[in-house]
Amino acid sequence: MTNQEIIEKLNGVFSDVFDEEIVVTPQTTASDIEDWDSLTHITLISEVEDAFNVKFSMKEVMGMQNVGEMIDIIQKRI
Amino acid sequence: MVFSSAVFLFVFLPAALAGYYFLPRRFRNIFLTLASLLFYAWGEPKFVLIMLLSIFMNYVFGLLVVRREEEAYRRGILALMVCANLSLFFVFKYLNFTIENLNFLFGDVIPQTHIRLPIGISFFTFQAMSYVFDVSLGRGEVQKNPMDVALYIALFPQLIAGPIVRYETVAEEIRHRHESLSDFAKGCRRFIVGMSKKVILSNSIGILADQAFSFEKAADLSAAFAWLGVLAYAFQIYFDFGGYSDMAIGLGLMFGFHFDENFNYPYISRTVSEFWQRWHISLGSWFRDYLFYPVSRKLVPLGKKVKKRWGKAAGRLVPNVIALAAVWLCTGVWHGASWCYILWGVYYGLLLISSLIFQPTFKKWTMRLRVNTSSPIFGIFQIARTFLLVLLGYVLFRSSSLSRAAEYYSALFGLAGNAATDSEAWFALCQHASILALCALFSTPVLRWAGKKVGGVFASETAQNTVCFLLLVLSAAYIVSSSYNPFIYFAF
Repeated sequence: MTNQEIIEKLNGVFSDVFDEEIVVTPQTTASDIEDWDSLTHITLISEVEDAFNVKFSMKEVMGMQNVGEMIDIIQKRI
Repeated sequence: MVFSSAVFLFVFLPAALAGYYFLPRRFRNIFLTLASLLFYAWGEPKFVLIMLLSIFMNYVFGLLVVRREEEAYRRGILALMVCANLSLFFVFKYLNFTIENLNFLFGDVIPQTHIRLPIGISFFTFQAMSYVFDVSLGRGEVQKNPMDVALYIALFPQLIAGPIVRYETVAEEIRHRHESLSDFAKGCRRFIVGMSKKVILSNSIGILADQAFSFEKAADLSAAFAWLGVLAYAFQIYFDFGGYSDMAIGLGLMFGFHFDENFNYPYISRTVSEFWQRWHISLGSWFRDYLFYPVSRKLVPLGKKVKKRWGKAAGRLVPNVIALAAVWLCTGVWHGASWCYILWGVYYGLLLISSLIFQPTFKKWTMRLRVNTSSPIFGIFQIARTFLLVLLGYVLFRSSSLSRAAEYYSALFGLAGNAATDSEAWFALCQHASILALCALFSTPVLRWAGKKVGGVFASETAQNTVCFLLLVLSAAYIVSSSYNPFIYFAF
């Protein structure tokens, strides 16, 4: 899967989780999306895991700084 | 030993700095560790052994947890580690309270213990757990030398009252730190600012808070005085704890350590959720990372089951509500072995859970009523509303018992047969007017904003150093002349 395909799929997941049209870039962080906080973070992670059939480790969940890191991990695991 | 005391400022700190910088680099960690143990033993000659036990225990757990890679093994070691730490914590902090309550329920069956609370145990216990958690998560390398683990846990700047420095933050700096003159200068300034907050602002306004909260009868406490009292307490605790965190961060810098911020102007928060991202940040993030995330991750399957039966919104709500309840109960308990603290935690838990549940409803109504949520007036409304909720919480936090808290609440709302205002309230307001104004001013990031706007010579390092020097002289004068130097978070 190319990065662009991953981003497109992530857009779908993000839009579903946050109930609004979202387009992410590798630089997107939690401060860019209003409702992305610790409460929605776990929901978001679990929906991304389901969508790509991957599993993030606890360290990755806690340490993820931006969407770019998420994409890198997904690339490694697919 | 308290930072804002003569023995620390004029004896311990100069000696610690001198020893540290005159010793060759390879002895610095050992020296700092020993100095920190001495610092702790000064206030707790017997309980320093408890802290050494905790250090040794967690040093061993750190080594054990990295021995094997398997999930099950690591989870087992972590569970053991948590049990061991919490058992120690329970005995020294909560045993008296538990026995008291059991005896109350079942008649005096258990002999009441009177175990004293080792200073800082809440902070070093949680810091020790952070060490093993972070090592097992791969967020910092395990330390083979027990002295280095001791250094991390017992480092005197953050030993007594935090910030709860996460192992990940300083793991690198334990072995490889670079002290610099500019960091040292920054550290000095930060330390002085913190000390001034505590000694000049907090101690002064604390007098008013104490007056209000030591009421004899609620009927004698006018509503105005009660509100003044809780407002004064809000400032007292912020400048006390915030000031102490500044001092800790400043001291860390002097030795080449970079701790994370613990406060970020909490009283300008627009929501209670934001408040907890600005107040005691190190505790909130500790609970978020080591309790909230693991618990809500574990509850994801439950969330999916709920989603199937009751829809998407409910499916997301349930794991979060359960995890929030766990976090807030623990936060309340962490603060102290008293029903007031526990209820205070429950109070915030309920506020945050209900704001989560009612968020879509609130959004709907603000849209329907065409409320402009980005207008400054709405912002002021949000800040005032949040501050009010925080003040109401402080009554529980400050009161020495539930009944005292209930009396204070009734006084606040004029339900205790008390007057709305009285001459005492007016007198207190006049007497503390300038301190109150200063407290209100420095609760906002006004200096930061002004510094950016004016810039130039007013924001230069020379100007900062001058102001700090004056503050140092002023604070030292306050310390030497005053006998009133309470420190609220000392009891944790």
